[in-house]
Amino acid sequence: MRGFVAILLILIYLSVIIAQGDVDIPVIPGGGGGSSSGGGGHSYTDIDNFIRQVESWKTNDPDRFDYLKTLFYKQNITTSKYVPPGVWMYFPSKNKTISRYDDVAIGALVQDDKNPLEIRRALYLTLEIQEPGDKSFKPAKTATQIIQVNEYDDKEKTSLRNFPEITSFSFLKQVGDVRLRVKATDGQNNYYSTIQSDDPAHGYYHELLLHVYNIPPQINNTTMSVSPNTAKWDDYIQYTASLEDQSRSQNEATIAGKEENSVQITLHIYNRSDEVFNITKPFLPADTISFSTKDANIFKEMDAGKNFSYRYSSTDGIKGGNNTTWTKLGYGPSIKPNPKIRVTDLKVSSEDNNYYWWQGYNFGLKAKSQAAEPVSFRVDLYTDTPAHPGRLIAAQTIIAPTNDSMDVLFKDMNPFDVADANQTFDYYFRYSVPDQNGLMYSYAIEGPKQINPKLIRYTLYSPIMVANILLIMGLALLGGIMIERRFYRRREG
Amino acid sequence: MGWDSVSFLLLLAFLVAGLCSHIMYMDKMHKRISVLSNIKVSKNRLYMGLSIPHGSNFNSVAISAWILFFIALAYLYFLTPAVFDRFNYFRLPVMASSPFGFLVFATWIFLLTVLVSAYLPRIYSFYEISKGFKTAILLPSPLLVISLLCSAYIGTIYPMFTSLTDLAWKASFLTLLISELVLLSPIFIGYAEVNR
Repeated sequence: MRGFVAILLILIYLSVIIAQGDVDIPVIPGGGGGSSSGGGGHSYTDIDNFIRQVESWKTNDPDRFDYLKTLFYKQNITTSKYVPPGVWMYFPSKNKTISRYDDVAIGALVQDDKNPLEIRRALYLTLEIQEPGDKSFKPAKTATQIIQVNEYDDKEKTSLRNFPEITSFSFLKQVGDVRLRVKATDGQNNYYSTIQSDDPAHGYYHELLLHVYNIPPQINNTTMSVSPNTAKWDDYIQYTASLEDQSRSQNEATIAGKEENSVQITLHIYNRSDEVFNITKPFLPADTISFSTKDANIFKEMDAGKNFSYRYSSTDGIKGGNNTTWTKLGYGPSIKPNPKIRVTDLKVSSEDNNYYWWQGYNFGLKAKSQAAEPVSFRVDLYTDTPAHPGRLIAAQTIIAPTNDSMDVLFKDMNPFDVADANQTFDYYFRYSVPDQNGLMYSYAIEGPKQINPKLIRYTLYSPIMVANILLIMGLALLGGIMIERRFYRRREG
Repeated sequence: MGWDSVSFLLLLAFLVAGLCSHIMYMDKMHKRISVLSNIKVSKNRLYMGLSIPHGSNFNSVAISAWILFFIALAYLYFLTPAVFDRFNYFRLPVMASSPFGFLVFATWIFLLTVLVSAYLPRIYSFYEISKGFKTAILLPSPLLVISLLCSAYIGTIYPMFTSLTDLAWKASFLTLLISELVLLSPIFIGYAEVNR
């Protein structure tokens, strides 16, 4: 009796092992621990011995061991009438050309109209994908869907199941044709949806073929800026921009993981039409794109006085299609020239406090060399009135000393005429070398007073006016005599 | 419309009236001579027949007076922006800024009106002018110089206005008006006589 029980236990044990596949049976050393540790008993010792015997058969006589396994194998199909259900890919949309970011719903349709409920089996559905460039199918990153025996529609005997993990094809690193199929397993039969025929009208396919294209990241041109637009070569300069459609990008980043979906943005900097510098940084789609002179020494001293432009290229690295976009050309910064002179004390004064238009005006400034040696440069004086905007009044060339500021004076200038009367005026200077602000000109400074509204410089009894009147009288008299002589004397004679 | 503009139109109206009187005078003379001589006389022959020489002194003074009249007229109305804001001496800043801008301005007026000034005294040859008027024709020139001085005074102090400004303007206008009437009086008188 004891032997019979032992053999029965061994058979049950072996059947479980065989059902689980080719599993190594652990050897329990010395009859100690494990199951024999809980009270000992003679039957456990026999089982241990039998296990060791079986392991010895497995090693020493594999053929007979395999035969032994067939003796203990029990088929889990209880009927030969069972017919494996039909399985299709399900994709109701007619549009098979989609972008990586389009929302999709990929499903499988199972029809089990051959088997009565009593013999139906649970069906395990696995989605397989052949990505662009792949030679074969591989399991998609989705969970296996299980169709239980009671999950079929009573009338059509069908069951529809989506693979919820696939909401878009943004995970693809290469775009092109994507093939999808379903592998079905009922425990005994493994088969694919590819054995079925298509019914595109209802969205059933034996194999779903989708054409997936890429929409590369695009920077919004209107968000491009560089600040400050005019700067010294060693100033902090920042370029900023934003990607288009940040909501989509945020979703992508959230779902697929930040590292995988970063966008490579390259800032290209041009002087005239030549690219003089570029720098690439990864950005998350929702981030503000920012490059600055902290990232790299973009400008050097030799760039002083040059005007630059820039643009961005953006790429997501997706193969098989367009993956890079370029922005328009943005302008800036203008790098200020290196200062050569220091200019201070810009001033203007009139002969007196009347500020008549005909008066002499004195303009001046102080200049000093910023370099190690004296600097020769030209100063142009300009005035600005509504009647005469940006009028060049005078120019002079001077040599600015290094040790002390020197006065540059424009004395007794007559910058205005009668049209400037009753108007305000500005004045400014232009230099042939950059000043301490890196500028080749001074800011316009408003005159201390409005130009006097009086129009005529001379009084009626002034010699000039007396001369004017006398000459007018002489003109009339002379005109009368000349005309009379020319046109009347001969006629009347 | 201000008094300035009205006064300008008044002076122009007298000029137009003088022109119309002369045309009607010539027309009436033409008809009358045609009726009296019972032959058709051409206007050119009429002009030649009616033409009476008044002497070179008279002609010279009359031409000078008309030249001065147009210069004085321009000075009163076109020297400052007070009357015609868009058309005045100061709209030409290069000229107005010059010390001899007044003379240049007068020269321009002279050149613009020289044909009219030269032709007007010829009209006098169709009228019988008394010795008294030949003396009176000397009057407009000094009056017009006064007008010129008054206008120049207003221009030199512009845009300042003093109590003298208004007085100067009125004096300038009155002397201009009197001069015009004197210069046109042979025509008006001749027209009145032919209508008697």
